[in-house]
Amino acid sequence: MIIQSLELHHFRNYSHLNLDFSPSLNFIHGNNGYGKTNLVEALHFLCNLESFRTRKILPLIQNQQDAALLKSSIERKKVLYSIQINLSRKGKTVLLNQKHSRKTSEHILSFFSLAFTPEDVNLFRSIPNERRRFFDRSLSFVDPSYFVDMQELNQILAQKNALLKRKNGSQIQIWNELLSKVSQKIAYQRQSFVEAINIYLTDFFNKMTGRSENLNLVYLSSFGEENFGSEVQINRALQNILEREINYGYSLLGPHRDDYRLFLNKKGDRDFFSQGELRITNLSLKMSINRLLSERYSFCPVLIFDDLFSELDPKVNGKVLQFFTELKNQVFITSTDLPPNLTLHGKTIHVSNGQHSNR
Amino acid sequence: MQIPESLERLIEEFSKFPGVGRKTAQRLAFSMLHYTSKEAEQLAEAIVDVKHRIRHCSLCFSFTESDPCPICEDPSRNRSIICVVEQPNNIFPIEKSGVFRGLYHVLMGAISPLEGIGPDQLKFSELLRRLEKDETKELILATHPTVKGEATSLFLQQALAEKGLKITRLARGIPAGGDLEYVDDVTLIEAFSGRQLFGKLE
Ligand SMILES: [Zn+2]
Repeated sequence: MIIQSLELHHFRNYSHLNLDFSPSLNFIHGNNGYGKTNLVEALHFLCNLESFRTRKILPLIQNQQDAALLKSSIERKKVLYSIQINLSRKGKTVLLNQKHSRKTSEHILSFFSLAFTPEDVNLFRSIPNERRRFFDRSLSFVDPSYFVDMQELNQILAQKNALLKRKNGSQIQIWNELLSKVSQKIAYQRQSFVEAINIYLTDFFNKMTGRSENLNLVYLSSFGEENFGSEVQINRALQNILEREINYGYSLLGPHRDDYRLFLNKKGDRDFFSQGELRITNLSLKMSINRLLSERYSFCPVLIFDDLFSELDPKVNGKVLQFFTELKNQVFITSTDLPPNLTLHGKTIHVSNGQHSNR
Repeated sequence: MQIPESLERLIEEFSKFPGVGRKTAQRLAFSMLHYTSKEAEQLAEAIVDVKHRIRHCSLCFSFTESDPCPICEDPSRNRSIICVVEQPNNIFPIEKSGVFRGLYHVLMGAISPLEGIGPDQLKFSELLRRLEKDETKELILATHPTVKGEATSLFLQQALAEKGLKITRLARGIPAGGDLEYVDDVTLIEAFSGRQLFGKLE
């Protein structure tokens, strides 16, 4: 997938912007605070309908403006799409090929970008919501039936919570049965996805760090490792916790309580990874997902690396750059300086305070 | 140009229809202007007539002009088998396909705690009463393949498990999240013939 062009109106610090991109490498450089990140944030938003920095719409709209507009031509599997997104206080509206697209699913099942940003260091330190969100997004793209299952899960949970809120346990059983069924499917898909990622993970990590350790992604089902494969055992676990759920007034067990962890040999991420390790393991994870998408699904997502070089160990930089030249993806890199020893096959875009110049 | 008040009123009324936006409502209203007075009166009469003559069958809750409805009254129909649907309009596609020759029962909705709808808000006790006196042997659950429809079927299956009935669920030929209304005949016939015994978890 290739983003051919971008047009912005009143997005962050850009009043108006018009850019064309290289299908391979795009190097965006300029001083800090001049809008490099805003630019790649817009690109990410076009692909995923959300920012990697905020869940809110308002910060994306330029000060004293009512609305922002993002426009783009995106090529996907040799077909050209035009995308237009309007952001306002009321939310976002999306036009795909000039037609209003009512379903978010249509969009996010077609386009996908993976972003590697300075905030990523927190992915495995923050609340599980963020991790689930990241994996849900990737998994939905890989398997649209997962997206359907997740919608079903959310409907079931909403109905079940409505009963729990009223402390009404009498009709819970039917919702627990439906929940068991969909939970088992979701757990299976999550586990399979994690296994597929693990095929590449260690290799990436060792290549980029020159170390030889074992990096492993682990899926933690809230039903426990021994239960999540069986609808019957899931249902039993739900039965066992029902009394507590009625006390709390909401659902305590299910895929909405699952988690993911990284392990370096036996060392767990949250407590034992150094800042550098959190970063490079995260990069390895995203590169593994990229590899999975290209090898199994012949799809190359857009890759975004925001402020990459200041975030990584200088020793690692060289290896990462080497690795970029091997990628088939369209890549966007932002940095304050041009890396000294990089022979660029692509485009350089200089950004200074909402303006830009091409070279 | 300002739209005259009476025309605006008609546009407003049309835009209350499901799936009709302001633009379509305007087009409909403008086309009315070409009607003769006679035609307009006939239309108005048809609307009032529907309201006065159509009611729910006191047995199956389908739409009908006579009570009980023609299906409930038809001696050629198989009275030992009842197909349970959510809404009266779900009956029409099944009748059109001709695949089913039993009786119906309309629940008038589906279970949804979020909207405060439980069995008591549905025509469930009416179904129980029918099962008590009718010679029903089989129940086909044809609720929508949505989360609410599935929950409703599960509920019925569990609540009626002790009644000694054969309870089946329409086969999953119908697209998930879909509506019986939009399913073609072939799919419906397959769904009926492939209907499965409602199994409990092993
Ligand atoms: Zn009837």
